[in-house]
Amino acid sequence: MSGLLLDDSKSRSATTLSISREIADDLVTRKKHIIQAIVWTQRGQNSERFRFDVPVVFEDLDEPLRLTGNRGRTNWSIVLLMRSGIPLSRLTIHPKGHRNPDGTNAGPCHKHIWDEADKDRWTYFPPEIDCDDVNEGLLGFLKECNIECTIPPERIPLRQRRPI
Amino acid sequence: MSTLIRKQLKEELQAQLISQFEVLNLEDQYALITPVLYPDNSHVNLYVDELAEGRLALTDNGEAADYAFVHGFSETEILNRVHIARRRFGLLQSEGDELHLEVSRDQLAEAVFALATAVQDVAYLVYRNRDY
Repeated sequence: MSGLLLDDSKSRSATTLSISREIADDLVTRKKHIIQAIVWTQRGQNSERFRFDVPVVFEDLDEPLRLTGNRGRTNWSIVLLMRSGIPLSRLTIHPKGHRNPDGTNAGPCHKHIWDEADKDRWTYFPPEIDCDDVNEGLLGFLKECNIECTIPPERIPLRQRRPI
Repeated sequence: MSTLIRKQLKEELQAQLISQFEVLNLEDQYALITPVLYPDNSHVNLYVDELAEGRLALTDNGEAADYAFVHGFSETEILNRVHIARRRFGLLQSEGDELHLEVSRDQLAEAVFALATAVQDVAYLVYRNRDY
């Protein structure tokens, strides 16, 4: 598996980063664990912005991943990242939705998938994920990415502005 | 090209350009959905507050920095890029990683383009890291 991926000993400025859709999907579905607590960091006192970044390990593969997340005043995202920066899976919520390469729009709540041609520009609506609640959305994303948390994730206050 | 066609072209472009933007009324801000795109082709959203004396505050609410963060960039890398973008596009220098500026109403269009392309400038940390 590792022979098909970028040699990550190079700097971040490496110009060629790509894996196939099949490999990306396989990595998303393999069993994984998060050992440390997911703790959201507030961006400043009274800030409505929160972030987290934790390592993710495979049960049967030596390929370190990261799980990152942000919650802003209007948008929020959860991303499963490879060491090279490739987002294997990304859940995003923002007001206007996202226009796919074929012109369709998955709506304000959508998951980005990775493929070698269009990178992360394809999205779909994830019916099993609660997009109205960032805490429940995180749990749904973890479940869909087959990630088990040793410690339950911290929950943050809900503050989701929507168009009137 | 004749003067008439130049005039028609300009009018057509102005009409189409307006239709590329959308304004949403949030609880305490207006969201401006622009045709400017992030590397994944999501729209750049800007947010507008009304200030005293008819002035406007425009901000990205930190979305450019958050976009870079969830794609794995460090706070230092992001802040460095934010500082560069602020200088390049004439935005306000401040603590934190939000991109923002304050203008009079007659400077709105110029401000929108400056801020939207500043957002792209920061988000291009991600773009430059990939074989697009």
